[in-house]
Amino acid sequence: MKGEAKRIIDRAKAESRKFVTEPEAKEMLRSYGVAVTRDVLCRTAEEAVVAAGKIGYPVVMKLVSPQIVHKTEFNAVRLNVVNDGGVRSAFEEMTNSAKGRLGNIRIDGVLVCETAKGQEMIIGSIKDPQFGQMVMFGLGGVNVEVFKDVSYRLAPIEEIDVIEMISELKGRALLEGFRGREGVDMDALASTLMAVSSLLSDFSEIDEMDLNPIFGNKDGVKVADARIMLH
Amino acid sequence: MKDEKIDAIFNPKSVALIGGSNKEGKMGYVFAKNITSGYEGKIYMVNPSEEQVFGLKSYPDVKSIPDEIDLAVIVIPAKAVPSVMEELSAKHAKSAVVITAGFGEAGPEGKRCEEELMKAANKGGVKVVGPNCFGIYNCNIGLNASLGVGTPPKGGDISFVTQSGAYGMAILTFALDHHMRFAKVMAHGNKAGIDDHEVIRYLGEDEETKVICLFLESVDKGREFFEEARRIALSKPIIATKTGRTAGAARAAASHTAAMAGTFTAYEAAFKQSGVIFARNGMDLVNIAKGLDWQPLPKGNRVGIITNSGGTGVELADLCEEGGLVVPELSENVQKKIRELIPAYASARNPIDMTPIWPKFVDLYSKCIQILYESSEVDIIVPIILQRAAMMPEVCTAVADTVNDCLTRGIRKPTYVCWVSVRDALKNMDLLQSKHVPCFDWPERTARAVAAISGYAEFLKRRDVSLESR
Repeated sequence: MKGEAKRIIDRAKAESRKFVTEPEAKEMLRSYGVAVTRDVLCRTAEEAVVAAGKIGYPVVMKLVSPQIVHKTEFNAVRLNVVNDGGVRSAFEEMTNSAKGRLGNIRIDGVLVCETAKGQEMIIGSIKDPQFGQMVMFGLGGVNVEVFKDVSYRLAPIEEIDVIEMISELKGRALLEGFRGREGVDMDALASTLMAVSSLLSDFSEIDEMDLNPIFGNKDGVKVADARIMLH
Repeated sequence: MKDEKIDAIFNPKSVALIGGSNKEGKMGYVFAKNITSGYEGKIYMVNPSEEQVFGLKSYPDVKSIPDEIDLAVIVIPAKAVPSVMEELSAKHAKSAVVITAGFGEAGPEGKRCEEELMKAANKGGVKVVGPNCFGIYNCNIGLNASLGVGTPPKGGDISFVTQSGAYGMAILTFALDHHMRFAKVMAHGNKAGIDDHEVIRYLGEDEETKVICLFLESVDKGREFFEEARRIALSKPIIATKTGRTAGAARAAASHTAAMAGTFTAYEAAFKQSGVIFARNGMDLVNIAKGLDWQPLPKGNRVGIITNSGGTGVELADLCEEGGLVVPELSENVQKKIRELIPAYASARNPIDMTPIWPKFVDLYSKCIQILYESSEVDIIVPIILQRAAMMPEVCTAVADTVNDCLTRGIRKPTYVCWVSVRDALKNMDLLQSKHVPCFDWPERTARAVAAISGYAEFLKRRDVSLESR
């Protein structure tokens, strides 16, 4: 809960970081009861192979460094890694390429994550100078990037707010399952949104949050990537 | 508990006018005239260069007034205001409306002057409205402490708070022309000493206020406003126009979330979440307030349209549905009753198109409205009164009387008229509006007002607020 998240934020502040790393962000979310993708932070390629074996292929691999905010810019994400050989080469490539670009970069390791499936969604936050923390919800991919099909509420939100946020989205039918596709567990979605909103209410230090992507299916909702920017 | 200071603004036992004048054309003259023309409490004029103002003794300064001051109205030049405020503070005046401009809105020097003014006011706890504002009204006690011409009639229950002076007053007079009646009006200008949430809290508790209208350029202390509005809106509608929606551009895009947010996004979210009805402009604000003040709340979103023009009916149906309302086809049972009244080539499906058979309009409008009141298939009735129908006073009277008969019989269903007429027929609108049947101009404004009102009713329903007696 609050204490755990506070410890992480304080550590980032002590290191004069304006953001928390992905494992830290996921830890904060977990402590508020938000489901995140299973992951293991690995220091060596061999650790990564063991982790991938436990999590199950295919896996996602991401480089973790307190110096990297935008992972894709650093080519620091590998999706759909299907076997041990793939894990080993992805590990080497990512760490070498980051070192090549940033020299004595501090690398915490490589995060090996489960590949989540389902409807892609996004939860975000902004801090308005007048109204404070606001939570945003939208459907992922083109819905958010092209159609800007998102809704906002002031944090904290209640269940009725979640219902209204969802009903505002043009693409809401996608959550109910569309053309034979699986729908999203709405209770899990509602509690995820409410939990994120209470995290936001508890910490005015959070400037922006991007939980993207989030995957939802009939079994639940999982945050696959998280970025939290601090004041 | 009512805020004592804000209550002193609207219900003062004594008013002091600082800068009252006998010279026509001066600001102090307008205020002296307005304050003395209806208000029955004690009035003290302050002007060192006059013996009397409007037949009342003129005091050289504030401290010479031999009484407590509930409300001071200040119309002297900006530079002189802080020292007068010092005197008011020393005298523990409860409130002051500072009309004078040339403060925070007028560059760094004005800003400094505003700070001095507020420092002086805070010493004695004087509640400040303005500076740079149009003034205030409490219509029901005849108090006009504003720049406006004439005191609005008594008997109103709409209260209006506006940041803009002249436009706010234009909105007010437009509404008055449309038979709307107001309780309390405040133009708060620079809002140096009063926050929107304090005003809406006061109006929320005010028994004379049934509908709260806000014309805002900004809200300070957005959180407090949101919390207060969310509480009040459950029992009393709040309608807000927020201008300056596009000026505050979106922040630099650091993430998907930020790229899509501008400041107005926050206002919009706050309004939606708290049940504040957003009006896109001043005229929508008036229309929505009128509909809420005069008619019961709709219990659902199904609209029955009665028209004497097929084209207008179709346009209105489109605009209603685009706004989230439903225009359902009426059941065979109801259609049968209507078909007995209208020509064979007319339509009873909804929109009910009577076709232009004006000799029968009085009878047709009345009976169709009655049938829709008695039917459980629609929640909202919108008669279109267009061109020839609008030129017939007997039609307007018949519509007004039918609506009021049905409401008196206890069928709590709203009627909003969609009015389309030539200028010569506009006076007939009074026949409806003087009997509290609201008229909205043309289909677009009608659909927007009805959708906004219905949206508010739906908001309440989702929160299990009973609409039965509302």
